[in-house]
Amino acid sequence: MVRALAVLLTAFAIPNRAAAFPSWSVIVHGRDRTAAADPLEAAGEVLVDLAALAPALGLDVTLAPATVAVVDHRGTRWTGRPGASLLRAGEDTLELGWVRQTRTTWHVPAAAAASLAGLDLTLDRAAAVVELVGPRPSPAAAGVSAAAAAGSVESVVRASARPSSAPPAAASHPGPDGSWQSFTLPKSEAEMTESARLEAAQDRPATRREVAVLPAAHQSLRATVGLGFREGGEWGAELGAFGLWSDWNVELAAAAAFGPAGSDVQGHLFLEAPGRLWSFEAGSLYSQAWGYAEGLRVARESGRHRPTLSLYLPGTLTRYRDPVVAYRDDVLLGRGLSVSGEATSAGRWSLTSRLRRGAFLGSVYAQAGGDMTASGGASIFLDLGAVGLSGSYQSSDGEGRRVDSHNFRLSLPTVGRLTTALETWDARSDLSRSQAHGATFSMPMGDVRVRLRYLFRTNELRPPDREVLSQEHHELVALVGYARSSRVRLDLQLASRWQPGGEAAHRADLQASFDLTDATHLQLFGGFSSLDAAPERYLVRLTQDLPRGLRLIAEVGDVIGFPVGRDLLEPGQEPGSVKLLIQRTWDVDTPAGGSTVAGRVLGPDGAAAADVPVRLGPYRVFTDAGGRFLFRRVPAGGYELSLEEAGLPAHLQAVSGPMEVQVTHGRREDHALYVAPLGRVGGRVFVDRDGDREAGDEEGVGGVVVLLGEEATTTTRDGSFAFHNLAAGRYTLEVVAAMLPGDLQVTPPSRFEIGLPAGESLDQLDVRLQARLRPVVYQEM
Amino acid sequence: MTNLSLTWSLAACAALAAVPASALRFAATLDSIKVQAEPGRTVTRTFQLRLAEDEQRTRFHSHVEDFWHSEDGTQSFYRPAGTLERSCGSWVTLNPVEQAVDPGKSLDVRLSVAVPAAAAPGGYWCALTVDQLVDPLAAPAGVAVQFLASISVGIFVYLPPIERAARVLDVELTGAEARVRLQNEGNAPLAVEGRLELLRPGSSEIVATVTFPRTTLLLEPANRRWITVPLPPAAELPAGRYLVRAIIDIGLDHYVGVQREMEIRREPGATASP
Repeated sequence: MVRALAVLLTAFAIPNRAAAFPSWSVIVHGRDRTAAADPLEAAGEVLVDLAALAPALGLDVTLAPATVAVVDHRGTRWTGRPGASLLRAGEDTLELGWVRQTRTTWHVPAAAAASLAGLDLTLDRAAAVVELVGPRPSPAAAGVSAAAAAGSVESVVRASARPSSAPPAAASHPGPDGSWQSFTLPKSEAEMTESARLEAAQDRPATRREVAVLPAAHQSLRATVGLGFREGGEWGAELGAFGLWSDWNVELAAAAAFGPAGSDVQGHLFLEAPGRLWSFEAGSLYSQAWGYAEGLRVARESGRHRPTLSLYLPGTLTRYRDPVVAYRDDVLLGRGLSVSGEATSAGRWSLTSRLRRGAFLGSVYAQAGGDMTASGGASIFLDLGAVGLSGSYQSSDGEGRRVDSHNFRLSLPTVGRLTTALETWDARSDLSRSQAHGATFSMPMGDVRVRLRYLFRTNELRPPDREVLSQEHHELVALVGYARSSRVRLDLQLASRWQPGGEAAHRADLQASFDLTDATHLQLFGGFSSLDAAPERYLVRLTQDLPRGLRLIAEVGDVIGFPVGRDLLEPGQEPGSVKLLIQRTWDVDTPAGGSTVAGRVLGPDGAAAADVPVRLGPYRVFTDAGGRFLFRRVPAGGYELSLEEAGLPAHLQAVSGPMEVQVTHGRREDHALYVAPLGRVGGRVFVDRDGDREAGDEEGVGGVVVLLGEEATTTTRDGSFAFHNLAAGRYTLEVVAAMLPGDLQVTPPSRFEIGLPAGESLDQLDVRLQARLRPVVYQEM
Repeated sequence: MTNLSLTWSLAACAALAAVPASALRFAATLDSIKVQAEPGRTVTRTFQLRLAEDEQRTRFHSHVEDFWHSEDGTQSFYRPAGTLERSCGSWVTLNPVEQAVDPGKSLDVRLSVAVPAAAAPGGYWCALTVDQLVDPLAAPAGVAVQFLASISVGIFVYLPPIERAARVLDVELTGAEARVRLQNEGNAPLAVEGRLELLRPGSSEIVATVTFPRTTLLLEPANRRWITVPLPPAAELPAGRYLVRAIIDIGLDHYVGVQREMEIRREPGATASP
């Protein structure tokens, strides 16, 4: 077998010619078949007759070796005198011998390099091709390809050059003498990306990387500011904010309009404290007793009820005229029953009770006081999946007029996906009565929804002391909706109304929206009616996202005032024809909130366990050298704190199970988790042939089945066995005697009781076997 | 480098087989396990093997050993952990070492690398080998043939700073093949990709490009590696004189290359000459 050797020889005295060729080198290449050999085993000796090589090299070499130095592939330098065990030199023949050292010292590398003063000699293979390299071909060696028979070396000499060690910048031409020329090429950005992708794909770890998963270092608030103009001299401004600020939930929406008709400011601010315990509201509010309200409100979550205190201030759209103080409470009574009510300083009150049980939802309500209409009623709703049933009754009495109304609706599947809903409605007072009966048919067809509704209405007027006036008419409404993902939506509604024997009136409404691109959104609104006084209106709204968080909104048609998005004219407003609004949105980093959960992971003796993954709900950290773990900025809530089994160091076992941790705002939680180190039990099964009661090198027995408790293993060829990753405790070790070869038996005792301390290894548990002696039964002859 | 080896070992054979011999079927995470670590720290990974649903309950034994390649990359060699100086085998603990797996279930081997505090920077490697075992308590049903599966994946541990450096030592063009010899001159195993471009002298037009497969250069026992790839057919790359340019990618922000003019002969067995 051809073997390889690596040596670097220095400090040889090279007379005369060496100086003329200071950078010549000789490379001895191995044959191809040697490359398939194990480089670790490619150790041995190589014999190179330099004297025989010298003529081919064009050198007049006289070797007078003095000191030899060998540098292995790891840079370790070995020196010795020629003739020593490491290297031996003859008079004309340099014999490079390699005595293999212990594996821990160094290994024989596949590559070899040697130098004789200025002459580099590289020896790769014992039987090899000799290649003469250098920047200038030797007159004697250039173009020569001749065998340089040198003992066991099969050599061919030819000229070439090795790459220079300092590559120049990108070059496109070879060296002037045909030698290898090094160069570098910069990578393009795409190539860098591709390299990174390949690297990532290739280096994908078998499992997750040991990365910590921590709560966000900061929170975020999205703020929007808008400024617009509507034809006719009206200016509008918008301000919005939505997000978190140190665990405070913030929602702000405000709009202002200034124009010839005056100014108007509306807005709503909602602040919710961490843990949702407290909340504050200001601006436009909803009052259970008054409906629309304006003012301030504070609420506190308190167990099963939520008391709320409000101060309502009068405004142009409010139904109260003086400041009002209101108290509201929402109470969960249990079993699906809840009650909410509001009482105000103006004497008006409202009370609602709801009951939700499975598919049933029922409610009753009443409100009165405050010089406004008193009303009350009840409603039920039953959702049985395909079948739905609902009904309500309500009565109101105010401004000298009492009205009672009720309605009933039943929906049920009809044919295929067709659903039919039957409904009836009745409202009566002292002066009038209105009734309606009808049916609605609904059917989804893929992206298209179709709904058809027919109603027959009767209206009666009963003026005092006058004849009753009665009117009947029919109403048919068709709605077709089309939705293709979120990019295209289309809704068309056609309605016709007619009286028996009379002329029909019609109305058509269209709403459509299109995502033309990811940044461009178009909305269309149109209406035609022969019923209303204002028969036609249309609106086109184009929304264009721009760079730097900007957005342009343009409306053309019957546009109304600010803010954008309204499609109803406010009283006194005249529609314009053009409106423009520019918005800017920022995502603002805000201070993170949350609390701290910390602790330590400890062993049974209190020793710290390092690099242990600890999980807190979705978060994960690793313990430091002191076994400490720390989660900062943990949002309030309930979490499971546990040791992550999959990432636990292999020599440890989790002792602590998962524990529930309730994180509250501003409070630090400290916990201790425990692990236990695992141990090992091992030994040898042997036949005590020499009777010394110890396992000798040749006495091991392979294939013997050994049990440790219920775990079984088989001894290896040398009789050794081991059970790994064992928790501390008591174990029983035994050899399965029934599965021993027939000529062997266990030397009593065959079972061992073992006490294994935590993290310890018991590796000397040898089991002695002995040959089974079979008696000789002598027969009589 | 991905899966090191997946071998089926003939454990026993006999003239009369009681049952037909068949290979064990399973799915496993065969990507090599790469760990960026610091001295004194312990890093844990998991190797997973899932047994096919219709297999029988099977026992596996896991252990760590050293590995390396022949210089031409055609062979892999395995020895006990610690054979190589840059072995990470002694740093690795496994759990479980031995376990039986039910059909359709997984063997999840936790693999912890505890890097000594005094470990020098650079790359270290070893292999996780999972061997199928014969159930110790299963009574042999007469004489039978049994194939035992063995699977190995590489474990690479990198301790910063990692130095990436490689050199093209030689390029050989035979009649049908191109061979490039690379040398790892860094301090860690190196993944190398590259290509060979062949141009007519004096022209910038590339006549042929030969791509090298991704190859891992280890550091010991040999830090050199031949990469052999087939040359395009003679119709595409006729014999003649070419500027041969070898360009390698070792994950830096630039390629490294060497070039020179060579005479290419396309006869079988012919070797290019300068």
